[in-house]
Amino acid sequence: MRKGFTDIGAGLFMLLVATAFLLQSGDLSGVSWLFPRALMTVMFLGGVYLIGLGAVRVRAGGHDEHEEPIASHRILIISISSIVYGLLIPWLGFYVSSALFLFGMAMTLGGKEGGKGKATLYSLVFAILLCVLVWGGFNVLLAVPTPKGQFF
Amino acid sequence: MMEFIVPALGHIIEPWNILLMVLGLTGGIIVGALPGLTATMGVALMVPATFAMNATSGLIMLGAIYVGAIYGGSNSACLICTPGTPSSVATTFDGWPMCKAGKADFGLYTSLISSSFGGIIGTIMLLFLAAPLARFALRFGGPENFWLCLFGLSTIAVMSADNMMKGLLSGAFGLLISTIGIDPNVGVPRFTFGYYPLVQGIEVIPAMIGLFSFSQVLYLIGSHRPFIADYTPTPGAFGQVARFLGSKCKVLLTRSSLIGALVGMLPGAGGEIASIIAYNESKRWDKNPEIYGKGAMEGLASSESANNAVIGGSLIPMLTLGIPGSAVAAIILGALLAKGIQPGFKVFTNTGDLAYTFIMSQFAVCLLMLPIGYLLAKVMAKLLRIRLTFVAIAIVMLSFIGSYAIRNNMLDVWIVVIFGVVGYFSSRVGLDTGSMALGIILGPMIEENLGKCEHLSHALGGSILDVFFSSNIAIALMALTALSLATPFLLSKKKKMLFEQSETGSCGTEEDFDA
Repeated sequence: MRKGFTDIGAGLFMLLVATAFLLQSGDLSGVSWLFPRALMTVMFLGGVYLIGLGAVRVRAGGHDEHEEPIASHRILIISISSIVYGLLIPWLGFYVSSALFLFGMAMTLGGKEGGKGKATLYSLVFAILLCVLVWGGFNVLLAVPTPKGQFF
Repeated sequence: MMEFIVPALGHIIEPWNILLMVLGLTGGIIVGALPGLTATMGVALMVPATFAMNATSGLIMLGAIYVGAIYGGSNSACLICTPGTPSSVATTFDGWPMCKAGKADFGLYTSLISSSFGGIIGTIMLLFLAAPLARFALRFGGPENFWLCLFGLSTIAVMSADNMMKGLLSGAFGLLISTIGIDPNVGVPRFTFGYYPLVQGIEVIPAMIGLFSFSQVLYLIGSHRPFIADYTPTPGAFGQVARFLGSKCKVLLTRSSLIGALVGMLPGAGGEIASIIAYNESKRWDKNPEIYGKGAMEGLASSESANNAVIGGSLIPMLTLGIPGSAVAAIILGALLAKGIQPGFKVFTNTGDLAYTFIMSQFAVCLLMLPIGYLLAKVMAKLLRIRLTFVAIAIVMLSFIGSYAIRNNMLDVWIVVIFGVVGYFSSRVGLDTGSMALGIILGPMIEENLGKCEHLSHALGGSILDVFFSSNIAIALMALTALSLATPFLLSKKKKMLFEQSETGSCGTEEDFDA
């Protein structure tokens, strides 16, 4: 990404966060408001500065920074799937939703070099094995509670 | 003292105690390496098991778990850029670049040897300097802790020397995030965005998992690599690392360990602050600060030696004053009290046998960590041979369960996802996730101590500046903070001077000095 655009992106992000917090500040006062107010001021000023700097850099032109190519669709898939996974946990329970997530992601994002049948088998073994390992380690050995659902 | 040390050594070499040390260390390393499972959790889980043992054996095992967990956090920090414990945040700065460069074994061995060294220095401090250091730690109040945190925060200036504005803004973002929840001074809920569970605030560990781990999942999945990193074990890597650390990092390791032990003594200031300050100091005093953050063994060594030295430091006020220097020390204190042992200066006389056995066991554990950590590091490095996709989705699962385990709350799972996306976006636009992490960690302490200073100024009828300047320690910390903030400018000036000098006699370019 060109440097000017990254500056503008960073500046906008800071402004967005500071505005969101400012809108939430409500009737805060005194020592409760002192520290966040100082931080928001810094973020507003810094955000404006970065946007200005970015605009100047974009105007001046320049080459894109060398970056390795990004598979955006894969990032989108794992992000959305993680959100769905999180939503499923309270409903299906941790292990059932984990098994579904692991199997689904392994099938979708994993390679299928050895054919679809082999990929399905590997994904299934991977999902079940990891769930069993985590269950053994967390629930049985360490007695760490996991989210319960309707099934497990 | 000597009348207790010889019997203590006898207790240490009992087979049962050796077995407990090995088990405690191994369990601790595994717990520490799993994101979300902290040293506190590991030690707390094993406290009931110690009730069936005598006090000496129980303490030995708890101490071993503590040491193992703090070191274990470095394994995941190096291999998957996920600090297993908050103490390992600074370890990711150089550990992960080393792994990406195909030098995972060098990273793991550096953290192992440094952790062992730091642990030994911390224990030496505990053994010989417990009483005077405990008295010194008692002098830390609101102003001193406030400036100590600001000193830690000033690391941002050194960490983000290339783009200080983005570093500072990232730090401010982290600090602002840390204000979510109940205000530590007056108990008012803030910035909950209409979502009641946010009253609990943003827990540090899920935020770290999100910023460092989930964001890395997005990065790795989006890359076109088949594996996390190329990895071919280098024959004799352990020996090379040991020689390098022994010959070139003696001062760095000693300085970082001393910082760790001193910070560890202060209640509330744990391994995360110590490792960050030690990292900052190492970078500041290094002749080539540019290499830090790009896979420098020096950076890794300073972070890991400091966070393991914290252990000895945190046990000093716990044993001598009954004031725990960390959450784990508090749990060990509870175990001591449950056994009817009252901490205090008399613990070294009335129950000297127990106290010195525990201290000597810390030495033994730090030494045992070398072979056990070596074997486990070899096993963990195999992670890099698994296909990236499988590792990445397994990290998502472990991140979710690890974050949920902190408070048994789904809110922490969502914190992981949100901070993961924030972390990924930040890396794309050049914001610094390390600075964000610093802000989130230090924010509550800064605000709480600032509030204490303000209350103190009201009570004394003066201004807050009067409170700051009334303490010599606070003044010294202010001077150190100013020096830390000025470091990037001083380094830049020094580089220019060197460049100008070389221009008269050689044909080097400014880039040569950067290299």
